[in-house]
Amino acid sequence: MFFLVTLDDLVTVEPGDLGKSHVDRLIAAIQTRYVDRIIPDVGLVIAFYDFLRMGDAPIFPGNGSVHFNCRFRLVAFRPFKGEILTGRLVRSAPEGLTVSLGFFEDIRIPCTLLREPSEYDDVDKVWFWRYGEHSLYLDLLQNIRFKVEEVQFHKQDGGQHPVALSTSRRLPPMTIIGSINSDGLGLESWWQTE
Amino acid sequence: MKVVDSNAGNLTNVEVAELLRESLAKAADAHTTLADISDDELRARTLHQGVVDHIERLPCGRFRVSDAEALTGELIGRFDLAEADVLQIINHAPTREVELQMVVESLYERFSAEDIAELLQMVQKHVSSAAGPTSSGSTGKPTGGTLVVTE
Repeated sequence: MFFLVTLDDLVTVEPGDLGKSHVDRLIAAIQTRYVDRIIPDVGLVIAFYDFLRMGDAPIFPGNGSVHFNCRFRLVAFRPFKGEILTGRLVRSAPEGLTVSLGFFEDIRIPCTLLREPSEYDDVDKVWFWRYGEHSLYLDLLQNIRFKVEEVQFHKQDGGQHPVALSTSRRLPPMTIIGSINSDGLGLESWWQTE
Repeated sequence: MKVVDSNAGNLTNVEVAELLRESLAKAADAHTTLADISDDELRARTLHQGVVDHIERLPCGRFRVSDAEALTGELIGRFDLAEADVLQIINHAPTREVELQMVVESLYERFSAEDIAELLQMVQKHVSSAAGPTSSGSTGKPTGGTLVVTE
């Protein structure tokens, strides 16, 4: 789910940029600092939304940049627990599934949260759900609907600063844990006929 | 940086898609060559196009903001729904019962079979009458993201 987050920050505009529209420069600076980054415990920042306040612009000694005290809102993404999302199944492994929303890919569905009884096909390397006599395969690149069980934030170096999605890392800064173990969940195609 | 309010209001997928489509269209107008586009801006546009693509693949991708507002008005005028229920109904546009029971908590305790049928019909009516996304190509003009990716 997308939502607005309100931040206060000191936004820096470099002297060389001052000729251009000052609001545009501020928006560009905010975009550079926040967009496509994770704010720990908040979510993935998608876009600048609006300014609520633009304060003083002190110039510090020895530096020609202008710093604006701003209060602004950003559009962010972080699903809530219990939210249903639709993504694309991009990886299948014995430990579970990986799902991508296109713009966000750190989504895991552990094998313990698949529909019971599910089995892993070692030859085709895909999971399938045994539904009566049928084997419903979780084929790669299909649309998959899942329920959000948990959103985990892994703070890099313990800071509160926004973190890029693509930095080399062992743990992604934000991970969504999902499940597909109730009606309506799993591949979209499973539920399209009644 | 200080987080003043970590949730200053929820947005539907429909509102987000419209906002990002506008921003992509504006960016496409502002620049004529790739050389004008900074890495940061390219990163933002790629993200925005990714979010728009994701939303347009969903049933709510057909809605414009006006469609979503009309459906919201009808839903809250007729049914006792929480904000999260309404947001999820807009985002998923469920037209089958199996989809509705995923997004509305305790559906069967809260609503009768007649209510459920009426609610699904209400959504179906709005999905059918929705004009489809305004974006990407309907004006004959590529959005910023598409332009960058294909060049």
